Amino acid sequence: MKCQSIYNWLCFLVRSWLRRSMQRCSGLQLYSLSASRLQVMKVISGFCLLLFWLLSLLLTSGISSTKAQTDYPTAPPENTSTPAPTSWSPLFGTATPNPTKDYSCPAGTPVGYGQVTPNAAWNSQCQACLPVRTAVWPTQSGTALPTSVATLAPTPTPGGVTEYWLQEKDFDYTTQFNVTSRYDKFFEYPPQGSNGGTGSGTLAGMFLKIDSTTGTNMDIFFVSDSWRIGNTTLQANTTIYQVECDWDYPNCDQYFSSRGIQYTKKGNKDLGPVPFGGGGNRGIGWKGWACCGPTVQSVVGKYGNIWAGTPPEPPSQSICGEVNRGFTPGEPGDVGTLPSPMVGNPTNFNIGGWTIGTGWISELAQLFGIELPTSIYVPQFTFSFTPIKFGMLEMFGVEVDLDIMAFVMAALLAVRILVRS
Amino acid sequence: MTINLYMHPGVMAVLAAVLLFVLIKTLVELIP
Repeated sequence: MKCQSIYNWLCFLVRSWLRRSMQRCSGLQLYSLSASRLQVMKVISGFCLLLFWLLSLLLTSGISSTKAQTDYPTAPPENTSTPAPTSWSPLFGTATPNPTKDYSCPAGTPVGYGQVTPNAAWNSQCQACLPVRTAVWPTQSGTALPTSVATLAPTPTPGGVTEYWLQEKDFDYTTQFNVTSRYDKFFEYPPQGSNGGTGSGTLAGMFLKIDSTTGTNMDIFFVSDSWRIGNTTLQANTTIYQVECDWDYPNCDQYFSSRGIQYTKKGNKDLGPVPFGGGGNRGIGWKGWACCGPTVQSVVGKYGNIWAGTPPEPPSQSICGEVNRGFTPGEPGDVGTLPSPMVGNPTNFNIGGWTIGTGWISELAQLFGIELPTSIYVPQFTFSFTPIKFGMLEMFGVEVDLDIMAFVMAALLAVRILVRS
Repeated sequence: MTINLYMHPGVMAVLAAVLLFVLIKTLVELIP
């Protein structure tokens, strides 16, 4: 019944809209002109049907897969791939991207907790970082209201000075080079200009790993300890730490045995920490090369640093580290962020670009002494249908989705057009 | 010459809904 009443109401709306439109056009009452009213209905319905038909044509042309008619048709392979998602890119290329915010919890209680009232945004983002409150329910002889007791997280005690691996077994420098014949390459670690050296007498060094990932044809790779400080090579090719024969190269044994070099027949070799006594400031390196293979492809050297002492504390950029009180006009970050409109992949339709020959008309005109061009060029217009989304407008902790706003506004406009014509 | 036509999916959906509405209403009106 309810649906029926809404349906009747909608019918009334459209009917009155059509009636008023007709009155405006012809200045006559529509009631007495049922024939012309029917005519208008036919025109409108025909237009809508045409639109519908065009839409269906567009859809079918988009998804049609024409198959050749054969006597023995074979089943097409099922397309199990998912469609590629629309990649969105910012409409304004010079817009500053929003920095990635750090919501990691601090080690202890956030600074200012219990002293200031956090704002809603901070509460919603950092709720998990707050100390857990355990409610103690009153006993029979207790007070009427439950009291809450806060259990604070223990403060971590600073540890002692231990040897610290900058990135344990995770190599922070990777160098890949392609070789086709004898090749040597010098790597430097730490890079030039960085003060990554060690103090005098401090045990330090580097660890090293040689990967021959694509090296099925790689034959020999070996590394020497060409340590150097600055631009001065202290030791060059004094000790061969590791030698590899990745592929079973027939001359591998001969090559190294003739040079008195120890080697292993493994693909990857982790050299482990290579200690050295450092007294310099920078420019410690190693040297390695591959040889003797005609089609050696790729060698990856990975190397990192052993660091003695306590690791440097990275400055915490976490939002949750300190309780945010709320909006203060002096802080620009609290005001909000402007929306960044994003555009998707455009779909282009080209119209024009035709060269129309005038043919016999120009020849005919030439008989009368009129010079006509032999062809007329229609310039090409490209209609680029680009999906767009407006993004979020964030002000004073309130986020407004402009896409939903646009949707609602369009719906309201449509209703208004229908109701008030 | 490229003419950029930005289409918002939500607005397009509303327009499609309006078109559908008009179509259905017209068909309903045609039924005697």
